[in-house]
Amino acid sequence: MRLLPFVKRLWLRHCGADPVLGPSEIFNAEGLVYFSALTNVQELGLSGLDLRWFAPQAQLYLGHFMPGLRSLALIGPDGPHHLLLYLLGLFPNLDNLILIDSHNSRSALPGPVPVPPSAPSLRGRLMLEWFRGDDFLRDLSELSGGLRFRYMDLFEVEGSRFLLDICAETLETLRVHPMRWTGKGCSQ
Amino acid sequence: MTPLLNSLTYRPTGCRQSILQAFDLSNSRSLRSLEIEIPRRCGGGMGFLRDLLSTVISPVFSDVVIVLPDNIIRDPEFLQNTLFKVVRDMGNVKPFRLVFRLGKCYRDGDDWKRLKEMIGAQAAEGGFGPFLHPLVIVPYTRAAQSVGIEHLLDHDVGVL
Repeated sequence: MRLLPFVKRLWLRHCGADPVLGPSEIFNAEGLVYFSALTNVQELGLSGLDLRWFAPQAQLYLGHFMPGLRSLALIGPDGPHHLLLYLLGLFPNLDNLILIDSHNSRSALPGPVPVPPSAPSLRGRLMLEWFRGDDFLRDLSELSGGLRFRYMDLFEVEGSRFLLDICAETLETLRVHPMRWTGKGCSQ
Repeated sequence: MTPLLNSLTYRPTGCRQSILQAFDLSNSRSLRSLEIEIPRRCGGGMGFLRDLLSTVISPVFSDVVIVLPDNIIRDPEFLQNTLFKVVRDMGNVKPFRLVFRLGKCYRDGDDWKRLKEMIGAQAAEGGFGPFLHPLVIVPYTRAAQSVGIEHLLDHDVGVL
């Protein structure tokens, strides 16, 4: 427990029969004690996150990561993309984002849509794999006042063209494995 | 369009016109490295690579990395008549250092040896053109994807 403040990289993966990381052994009163002790986390990875359950409580568990978190990786986040935006908006200094197997839709939420508390910086690395969500990318760009990634790794991504266009001025390294292109003259 | 771009890695999928529109490199004066993954369907990508290289104007451009699929050794005709020919033609126009990355299955065994011999023989005959920098073969690994070419040249085996 005394060593937890030294942790800079934290990965949480679901295991067992439960397909999503939701109300589990991690996110409960006992887990909150451990989360509170993690005061210097800079890189966070979450696998199979149930956004509908987690987003409203994200600030409780991850709120103190706000100033220091630079990198966030989400594998298979489940839920509408407004909640994903809200989660990203918790971290104003977030520069690096990894989204894998993400198909978050713009489906309507019951009740008011949560407003992200801040605009993530997003000036570092973007890695997307098996990603569907052109609308999400546009909303993310709007939230952060434009995307300025310097490194992009895009594998089977819907919306690659938009990312290329909006990051053209800042992009230094690009790795792209296109799924399909929606540009003029392309029908693949 | 991408003035700061210095490294582009791409796996072609056959939609050349749109891709070339997306990667308008005619003002990318920082481009150093172009890496292209040849799809498993041999033959794909070479025309794209030729077209793309023709638009490169960067004064610091130095490296072309060609990632070969695992099955390429089964198609020696493609190697000899298409891949090597395109590389030679390109090298005659625009000097660059050529790097072949090979699939993991090439790390050991007869296929690795055969392919290395084929590429080596082609190089020895001057078959890659007089303006190419030394030809290099590096084993392909997932970890190697994230490091620069200079690191690969310093640390990997198989340099001809």
